[in-house]
Amino acid sequence: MLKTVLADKDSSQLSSTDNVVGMPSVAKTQIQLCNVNVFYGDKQAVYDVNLDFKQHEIVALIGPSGCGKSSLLRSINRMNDTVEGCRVTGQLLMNDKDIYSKEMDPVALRANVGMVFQKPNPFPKSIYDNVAYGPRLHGLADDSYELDEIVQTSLIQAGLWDEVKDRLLDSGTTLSGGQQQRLCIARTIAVSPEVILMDEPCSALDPIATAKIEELINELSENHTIAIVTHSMQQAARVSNRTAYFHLGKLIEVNATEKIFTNPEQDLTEAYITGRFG
Amino acid sequence: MDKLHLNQHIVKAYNEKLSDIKSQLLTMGALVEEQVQDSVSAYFNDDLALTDNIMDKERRIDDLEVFIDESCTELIALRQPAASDLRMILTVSKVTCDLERIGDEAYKISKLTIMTSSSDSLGDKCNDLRCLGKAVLKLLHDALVAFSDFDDNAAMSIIGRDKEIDKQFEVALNSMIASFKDDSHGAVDIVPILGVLRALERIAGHAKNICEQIVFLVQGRDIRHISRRSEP
Repeated sequence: MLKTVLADKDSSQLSSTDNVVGMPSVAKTQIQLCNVNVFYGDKQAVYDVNLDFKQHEIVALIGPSGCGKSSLLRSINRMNDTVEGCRVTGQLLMNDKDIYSKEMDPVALRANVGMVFQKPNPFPKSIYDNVAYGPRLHGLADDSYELDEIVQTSLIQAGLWDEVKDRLLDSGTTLSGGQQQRLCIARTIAVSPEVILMDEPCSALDPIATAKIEELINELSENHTIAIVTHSMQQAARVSNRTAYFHLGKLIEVNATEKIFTNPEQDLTEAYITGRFG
Repeated sequence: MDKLHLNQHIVKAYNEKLSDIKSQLLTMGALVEEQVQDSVSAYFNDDLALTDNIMDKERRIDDLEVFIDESCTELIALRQPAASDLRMILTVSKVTCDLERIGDEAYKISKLTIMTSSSDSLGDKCNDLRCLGKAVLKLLHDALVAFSDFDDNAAMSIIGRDKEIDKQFEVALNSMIASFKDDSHGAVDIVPILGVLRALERIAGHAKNICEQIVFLVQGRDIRHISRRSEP
């Protein structure tokens, strides 16, 4: 009787890779990666990755250095186009549209799939102009009042407004590291992207600044889908809904974050997150 | 046996800490097992000398519980354990609690030994109780060995045996009640016997809890209360 009961309990568990455990089952798939490979010349960095990103979820990509997570991230908004010799194969869809089709405008794509980098990189412009740059470029504001509103809203959403509202004309580079990163996030969300890609956004920041960014990520996920590459497993555990573990260019396991960090299915995942190898 | 590869962390100090709490838990387990053996033996053999050190052992068991819990807290705070390491620490913390409770039950048995009349005078009335005592001692020993080896298969088997213990408890209880029903002079003796019965049944229950934690540790599955969940 004990075995029967245990078998019933097993069958009620959700399977790992296909279902988004912890997310509403009706969540729309925003980005689909099918058999994605990334090459730098003859060297292959990413092998045959299949991974979905549901709307408004936060997915953390973790793995040792050189495992391909940043290469994969950059393929989603075609930043790899700027890397000589880089080639991406497979199918990458956003809202069911092929990201790499000839009809897809990479500039428009990158407005809709924003990116925040490891090192804060504000433009050498005023705080206001940093945030206004994208909306101006894409013609998102009809007049200066509308532009002011976009800038203010973006800075509020990035949690920076109160700190800079009285000095919007100061250069963005005069801000602290944490503030600069939040400025970069404000700049990203000013063009209303559906997706935000973050490549180790907190690795250059102190713990307090990191906590503020993590809180911001949580708030942003209400209106954006977020993919975050991080070397900090604790950060992945804190911020994400799902975690994907990569090793030597391959996706080893993806599952609900609580499952990955309490009872991962793959030995390689277990070994990495418990520090049995780096 | 290091089925969970506890000693394979890159940071050796982490290996040592995890090994240490396992080792402390096994020390506590050995002490508790000794406590139960002594108290059961004292009761059935009317050997009050065995009860002499019970209080001292009880204090040592309590101290170990506090020490191990502090170690677990420290590990969680300083190492942010994940996966099997996290389950190991949670398991140790829970098993520590069960062991401490077993120690308390053994202590109760020894107190009852001091209060009660010689078991020889109870004659055949105690046979079922003796059988139960032996079965519970074996169950506890096997549970501790299963933890030491991280043997989830053995743990599952022991969980199944707990149902047999429950049946033996019922048989012993009914037997006691029946044998004292018509004996008004011996009726006063039944109270401590029932106390011993109850304590043995609780020890078996805690040994089963330990085995459920072993399954959680090795497989990552929480199998507590499964039989209750399957009831309509």
